[in-house]
Amino acid sequence: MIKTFKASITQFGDDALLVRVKSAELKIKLSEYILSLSEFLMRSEECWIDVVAAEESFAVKFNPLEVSATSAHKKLKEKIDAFNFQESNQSHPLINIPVCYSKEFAPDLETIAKEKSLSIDAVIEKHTSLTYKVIMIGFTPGFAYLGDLPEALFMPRRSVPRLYLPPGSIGITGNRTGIYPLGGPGGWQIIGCSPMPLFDSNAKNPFKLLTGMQVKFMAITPKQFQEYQTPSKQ
Amino acid sequence: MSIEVVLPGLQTTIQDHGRYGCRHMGVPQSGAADLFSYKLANFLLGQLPNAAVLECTLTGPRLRFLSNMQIMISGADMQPEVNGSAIDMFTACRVQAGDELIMQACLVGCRSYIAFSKDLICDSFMGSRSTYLPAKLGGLNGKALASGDVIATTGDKLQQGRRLESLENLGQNLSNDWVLTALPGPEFNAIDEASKKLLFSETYTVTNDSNRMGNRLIGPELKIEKVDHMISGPLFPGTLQCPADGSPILLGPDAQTLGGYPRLLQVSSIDCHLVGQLRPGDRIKFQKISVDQARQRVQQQALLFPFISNI
Repeated sequence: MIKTFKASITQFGDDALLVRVKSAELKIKLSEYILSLSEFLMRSEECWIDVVAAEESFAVKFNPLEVSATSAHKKLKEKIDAFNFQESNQSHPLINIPVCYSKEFAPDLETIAKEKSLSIDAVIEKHTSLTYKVIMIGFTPGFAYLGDLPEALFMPRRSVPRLYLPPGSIGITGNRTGIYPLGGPGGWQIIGCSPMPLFDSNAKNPFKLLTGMQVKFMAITPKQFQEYQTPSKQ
Repeated sequence: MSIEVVLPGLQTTIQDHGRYGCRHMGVPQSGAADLFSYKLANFLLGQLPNAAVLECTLTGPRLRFLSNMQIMISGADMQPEVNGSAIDMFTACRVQAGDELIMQACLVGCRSYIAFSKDLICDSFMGSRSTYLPAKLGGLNGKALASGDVIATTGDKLQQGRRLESLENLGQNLSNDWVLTALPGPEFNAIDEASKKLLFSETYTVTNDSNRMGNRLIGPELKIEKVDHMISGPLFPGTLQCPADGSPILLGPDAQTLGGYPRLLQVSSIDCHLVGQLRPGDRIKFQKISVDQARQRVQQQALLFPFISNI
């Protein structure tokens, strides 16, 4: 199993290492492997200050006062080689996420439709047609990278990121779609907005979505969006 | 046993050393933007290395102390006064119940730190009390301080007061013209040869689109050659990323954990805290440094300032 994942380690600044992982396995396996390896590193070795898991790579930060880059590199390689990846057989729940694709929530929808020679309805239909997997969590608390998007919707990132997107904004880029759980800057193309909160720091489990979970989007009207935001008095 | 916020200043937040070990859930590091000044204030006061402080931005607050305590101010000079008399920075100052601390605007640097002999009682998330405004984590309900807020405090926690052999450079030579040492980032080769030269020789200016998450810079446009779709990868405070428009963004302590724009540079660990002192209009030059040179400088710093190894 170990042999199916090939890792190459490079320097990232003077106090971190970047590990790019290649695999013939499915993308979701690769990101599960990286997440599981990252958690293993956080548990196992004191010289790592932080580990950041991404989809096809991860980075580890070390304290240059404690360890040189050369020996950090060596320690990391040993740990990666020693890591025994256990695939989880856990079945993941399917979460339905309501999305309003109405114009006021979807500043890039029209451009995308034009670019792809599709009607706006066809873009929405394609976006809601598939069940996505949570490939990874990252960017801001609880931001879920979902995949794979239908190829007909592949778009590049915006050349200038927006300074502010409202919470719940649904973006697409490349073969990924994602939900911005918080208000803030973002560079993905925005096609809608969900009223469902995905991060709640006061909840027992603050993160609604976790790697491996399944997600399906359901189109809702602006009225339903408002109703969702105003909890009914019961 | 508390501190009352009379006026909050431009953006005053409770910060500590930051959140570690939760970047895989998208939770940023946060913590004091200038970790050097943060650690220095706690060290000189004799506080615990991870004690919560107030981080003041550009214009400081006006605070009324409701009990006796000691305070210590480091970072940018916001001309602190207690009851109308100037107080020294980097020096412990005893304040009595009823005293008022007033801070003004700083002209050089961006952030000032107030450490206290008492512990600040506030929210904690994933092991840190640092305020992260976008998700309302830590601090007082995850928000910047507002007039009328009262920060409750516990009893004095001071160890013995400490002194440094050398008092030079405690203000870290704050400037409006910075030289930041940096290493080529993972996608340094995404820009053309001419842009690589520009990046290490020309001046970049900090724009108003700057906050704890990142500083948008303007300067000679960088030409990104490879426009292939990039899969999002890890970022850290101090990463310089560059969208396709060629205007780079230098990330701060609240930096997103992942991103898909090319990572052109990583500011060295020795200079990373200076990113927290950049203010709009400041000019930056990036100077190339090797891994070994950076480590040597970290080691030299640790001899002068032993507290920087407190993690």
